[in-house]
Amino acid sequence: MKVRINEKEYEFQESKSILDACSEIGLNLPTLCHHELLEPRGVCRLCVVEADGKLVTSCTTKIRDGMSIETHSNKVIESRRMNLMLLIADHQEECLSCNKSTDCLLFKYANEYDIHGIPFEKIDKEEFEPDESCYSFRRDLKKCIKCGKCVEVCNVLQKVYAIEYSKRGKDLKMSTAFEYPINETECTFCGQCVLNCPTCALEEKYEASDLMWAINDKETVVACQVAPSVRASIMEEFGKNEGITVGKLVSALKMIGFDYVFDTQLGADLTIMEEANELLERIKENKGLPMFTSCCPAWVKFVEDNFHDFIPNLSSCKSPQQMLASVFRTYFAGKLESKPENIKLASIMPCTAKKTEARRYEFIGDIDFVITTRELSRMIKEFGINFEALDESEFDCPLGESSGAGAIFGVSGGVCEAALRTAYETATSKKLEKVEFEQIRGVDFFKHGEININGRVVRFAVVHTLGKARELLEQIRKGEAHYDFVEVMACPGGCIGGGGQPIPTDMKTIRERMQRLYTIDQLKKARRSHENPDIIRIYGEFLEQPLSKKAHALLHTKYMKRSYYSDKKG
Amino acid sequence: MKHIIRVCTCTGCQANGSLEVFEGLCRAVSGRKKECEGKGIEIEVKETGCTGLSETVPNVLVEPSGILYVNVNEDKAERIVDSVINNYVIDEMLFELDGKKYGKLTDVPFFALQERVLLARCGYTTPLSLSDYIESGGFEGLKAAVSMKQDEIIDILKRAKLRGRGGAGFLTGIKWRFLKNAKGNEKFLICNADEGDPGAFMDRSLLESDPFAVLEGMLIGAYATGATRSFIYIREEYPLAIDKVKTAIDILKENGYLGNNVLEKFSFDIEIRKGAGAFVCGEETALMNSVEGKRGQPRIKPPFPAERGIFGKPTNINNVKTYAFVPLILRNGPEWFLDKGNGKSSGGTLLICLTGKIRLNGVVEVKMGTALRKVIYDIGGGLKSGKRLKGVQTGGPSGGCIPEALIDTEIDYESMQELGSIIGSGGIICIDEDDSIIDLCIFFLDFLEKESCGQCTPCREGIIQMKDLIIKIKERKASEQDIAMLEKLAVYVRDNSLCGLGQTSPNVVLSSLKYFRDEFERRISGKPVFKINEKCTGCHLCFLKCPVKAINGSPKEIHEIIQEKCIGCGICYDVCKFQAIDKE
Repeated sequence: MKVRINEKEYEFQESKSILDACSEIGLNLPTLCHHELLEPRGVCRLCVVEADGKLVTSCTTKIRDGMSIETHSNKVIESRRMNLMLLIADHQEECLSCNKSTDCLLFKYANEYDIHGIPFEKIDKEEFEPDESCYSFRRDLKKCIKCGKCVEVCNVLQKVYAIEYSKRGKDLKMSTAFEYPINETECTFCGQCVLNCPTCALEEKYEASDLMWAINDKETVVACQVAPSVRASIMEEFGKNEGITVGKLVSALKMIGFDYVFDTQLGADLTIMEEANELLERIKENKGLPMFTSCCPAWVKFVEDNFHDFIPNLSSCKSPQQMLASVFRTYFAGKLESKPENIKLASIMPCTAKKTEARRYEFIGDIDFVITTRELSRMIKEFGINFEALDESEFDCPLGESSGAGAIFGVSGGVCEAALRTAYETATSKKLEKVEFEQIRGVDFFKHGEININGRVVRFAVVHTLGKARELLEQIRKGEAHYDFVEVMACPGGCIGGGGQPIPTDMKTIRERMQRLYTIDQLKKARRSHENPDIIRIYGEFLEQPLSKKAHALLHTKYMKRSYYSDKKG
Repeated sequence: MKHIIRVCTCTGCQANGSLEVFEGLCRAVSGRKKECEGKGIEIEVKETGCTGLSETVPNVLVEPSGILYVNVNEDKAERIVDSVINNYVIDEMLFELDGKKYGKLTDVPFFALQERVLLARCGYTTPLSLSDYIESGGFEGLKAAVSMKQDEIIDILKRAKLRGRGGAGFLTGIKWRFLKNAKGNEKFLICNADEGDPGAFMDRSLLESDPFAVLEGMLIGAYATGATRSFIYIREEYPLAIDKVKTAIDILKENGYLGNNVLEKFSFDIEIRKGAGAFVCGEETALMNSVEGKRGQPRIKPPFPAERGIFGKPTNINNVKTYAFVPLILRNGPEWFLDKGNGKSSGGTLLICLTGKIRLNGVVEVKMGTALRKVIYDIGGGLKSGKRLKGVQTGGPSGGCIPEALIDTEIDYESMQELGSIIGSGGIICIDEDDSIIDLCIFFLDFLEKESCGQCTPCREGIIQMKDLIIKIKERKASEQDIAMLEKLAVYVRDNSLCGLGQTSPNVVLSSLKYFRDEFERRISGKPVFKINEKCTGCHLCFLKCPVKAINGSPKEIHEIIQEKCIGCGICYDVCKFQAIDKE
């Protein structure tokens, strides 16, 4: 169909929204409430355009043959300016002392639309106290512009239902049930709300300054571990697509002052060693199937909160972050001369839920700081590090070497693929001809396949986003779906789309990050976790063998049934 | 001879003690049973629906004489019964207006000048009596309908030009055709009884007074569109209406008019859903969300309800009055209905709620196209205060203000829209010269800022700021730019809001700025404020000189400046010989 956009004619093959059509021809219209994975709601009204002379929201209006669209007529611009002025009047402006101002969409649009001076009374927001109750993020309704994106992401994409709209009109606010503190709700701390909040009403808890204090303390040894997904996205924070390699990232971390830089991918390799063998065991005993992965703390909490009957199905393996921390505290720290209390471990994660995971009571003392990709980028910027001038460095030994299987832990399907590589080869003693499991790669929300291991057909499935996980669990519960092994990651695309990742994170950036991790895998000499020389060494020197008594003590964990509301206010 | 004494027991009348009157009458009748028998008189006291004359309730109607007694209380019950038995009229209890007394209800101008079609049963039948309903023509429309094809019914409605009476005024026939033609195995009808406008109570009155008529309209709708299930969405604040409709549904079920195999032609079920009192749930898509158990906020259209409505199924939503019209149209034909209009886009009569400073407030029914003046002065009896009418606010929070100068306008969809207002659900609030337009705007904006669902920016934030700007103007802190900004903001909210609530919310501001702009402008900051101090001798000079009659006071008493009216010209200040006027 032919559509005129700003007096130029364009041809489109299929029906789509005006917003998408404009984006396709290189015109990004401003919007605060739109999320590409969700149904358009048309509530922020910022994306208005004139279509055939009528003011319409471009996200909810489909193009029609012969339509004439003006994206920047005077009327449109005036509407958007008025909209922004109204929002700013209802927003606590602290832009200079606001952590998110450089990522703030309201700030960006106000700048672009030449807003200076608000002709309206500022709305008093004094009644709102920030909710600081959880480790992962802070909710500050003083800065909320009520776009509802957090609620939609939480309820539609994730189906977690931790926050909802409450009240109406001028009193509308995003609220937890009974206005409980967020840590007393079924929130999984996945951080998708943080990632999608256009302002700073939701932001991660910053631990970087405390971390810096520890680094500057000469008595203290500070080590860090870097998750796979961080290296897949950190360059975006510096406006680049490539050029910031893992080696340069390690150099930057050393420059900041970390005494040791380890690779969470090694933790991932450890996880695979344990998880693959656990899977084989469960299959042998035909017990506790399907087995669910347990690397994603948001997913683990989701099961603990909502699906108590599936808790035994969760793999007992700790996540890579926690496995590496355990091995660091026992195997590595023992070799250091410092007192245990002077040894600190930070982890750099694409994830806000990891902050909370590190504070689960089972794990207390293992990890001292968890910072996100965004926090790391701020530290690097604070140091003024110029990546171009840096040399490449290696991760520290012996927790620095990793396999390609560990790298793909960051993408949806990666854990499953890595586990299958090791499970198959361990069980059959045969080499896989092709280590890539194409059927579970890519951004489809539900992927599945099967593999024959010694005559037993093992059926596996991969889902990402908790919304899809909920659907799959309900199907399994009803007996409509049958799998032996299921991988779940809470965020779109897996950890690469995590709540701590650079803003914006959209499907385009997720695909790019995915590709970067697959490339790292491809270039690795060791593609399978059990081929990683450090892994062989750690098991040889310390852990004996997968699922050994020692491995169980250090690398496995327990889960708990959680419930809210019922035991409180009626 | 048989006499019937009718007492309305609708919510409004009950609140004024009509139940006590009813019981008093019953007691009085049974107390004089023997006497009646002796005289061959039979008296029955019956509950009825509301006549609509809310000003003088409780009202009592005696039949067959047709005598109307007003402002009745329990103590007067005996006398009424006595008057029936002994065949006389109690003069002092008759309706009186401008010194003239009216005996018969039909002689009272309030009733005589109405065109009561929808309200024909109200006051004359017992709301939950199926026999009363059938005797007065009930189910004739339904019976006529089931003898026709679906398309014929829809065609009749189209020819009758029945426009939806909920506010938007969409043609009912077209809407029904959408639903009839919609694909889907299950279709829904919804009756919107979430009457939320301040000062509107005609839907409640109709549901309480003639519930079967509304249900019959829905039954015809079901047959014509193929809908099998339906909901009546009534606000929780209408417990009596809910009770009556519930009982009416049960009665219809018992008598085979609802459920499987209605008149051996179709199956249909009606359920009641209670609204929790959110104004926005009167918006059809928000209403559907609410019925589904979701948060009551409007959905984006398209898809329209006929395509994807409640539970994702094709749905048709009409207002209470719209459904109640349908049986009448099928009974009397489209020409009859058209004849009740003024030849423009809509046929039929119009239900109006007269409130505010009007002398006779209540529910009235007039032909579409009746002049506002006739409704206010001839039917409503003019203003209570005897003061000059300043204007009328029509259509509730979505409507606008019309000045006295335009009072000869005929009430129909087009004319109201031309004036920047709407018919809406039919509320008319009269204001007199003492009322401040600015306060009226603040009242409605205050209502709307609380009742907006809050999802879209223009409505949620825009209404707050419009209200704030007007308060600023009221407090004389605003500049000319603020008035310009108010107007700009109002236009923005109108053009940018997601649903009808937001789009119409600035009507009250825009129409006020159009017709009463001077009231805003005279409050611009910088203009001096004058106040009279205790030195005033009551010489009355300022009173005489004030060009806008903004000074109150009798000679030899301290005078007072009505700030609402003052234009800050300073003439009073100049003429005062006693330094009794302060300039701030």
